[in-house]
Amino acid sequence: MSAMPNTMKIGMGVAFVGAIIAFASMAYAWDGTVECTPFVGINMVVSMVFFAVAGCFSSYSPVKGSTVVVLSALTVAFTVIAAIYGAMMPILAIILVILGILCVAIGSMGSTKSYVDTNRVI
Amino acid sequence: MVTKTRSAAPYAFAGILVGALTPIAFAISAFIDGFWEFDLNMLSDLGISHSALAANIFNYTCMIAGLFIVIHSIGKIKAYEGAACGGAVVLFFCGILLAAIGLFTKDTAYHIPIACTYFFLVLITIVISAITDYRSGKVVSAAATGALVVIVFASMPGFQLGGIEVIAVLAMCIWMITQSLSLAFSKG
Repeated sequence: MSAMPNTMKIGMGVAFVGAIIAFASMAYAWDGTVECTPFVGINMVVSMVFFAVAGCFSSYSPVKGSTVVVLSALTVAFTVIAAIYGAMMPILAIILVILGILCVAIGSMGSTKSYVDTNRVI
Repeated sequence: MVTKTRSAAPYAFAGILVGALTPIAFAISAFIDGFWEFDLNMLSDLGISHSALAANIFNYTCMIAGLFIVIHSIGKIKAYEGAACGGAVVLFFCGILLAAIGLFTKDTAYHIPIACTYFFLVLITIVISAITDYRSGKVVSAAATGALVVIVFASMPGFQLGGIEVIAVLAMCIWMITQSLSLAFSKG
């Protein structure tokens, strides 16, 4: 097994930060009423996809290198959806979109792709 | 033997112009109109605005953007082969239909059929482009396309047709920019 490139570690860190911010946004969206459930749900989806991307940057990634990029793009998409519906504070949405784009950039790097494709478990 | 290489950059530039300037022109048109509201009015309402200036800006933007999309699609037809070339041919017809949307305003009988066909063909060319980009290794372009499609479809439960149309048009403009960058930096 080849040594894990730094881009993988950075990608995992960035995705985890995104997931934690989205998780905090989810907690903020909850106001104790049933009406807030869709907003909590959208934030939960954003957090979940960020956690999934963080998992893709682990030592034994479960997906192909190209799928990591697609998943990272989905984090941006779901963040934009959360912003459009007003489920997330605009400043948090901007930060998460930037983190998502960083994940796309890191995932599309040659070193990341080759490592994921070499060491993936499935 | 002398070999000539031609750059796809001019065709790509036409696509970037469409993606960047169309939303600005529509926003200016809506601002001049004054009564146009997001999620309440359709974009086509700007074409029959009470303000002649707003209507002209909208209609001429559609026509010019359609022409530029045709130019962009010719570049893609020349640069790509197979299914990607097929997608570019569909985009060519999208350009013609967009120009027709500007030509036949909402108060004519042709407008709705043309607009529906336009959005349907755009969806087809976007799906073809996402698949062909993914297969040819342009993963970032394919991922961006997929993300934009997800945004448009996910906005459907929360907005009326007018709002969804605006989000779809913005997504299309971003898609044109990503495709143009992909075309500009394509090899061969």
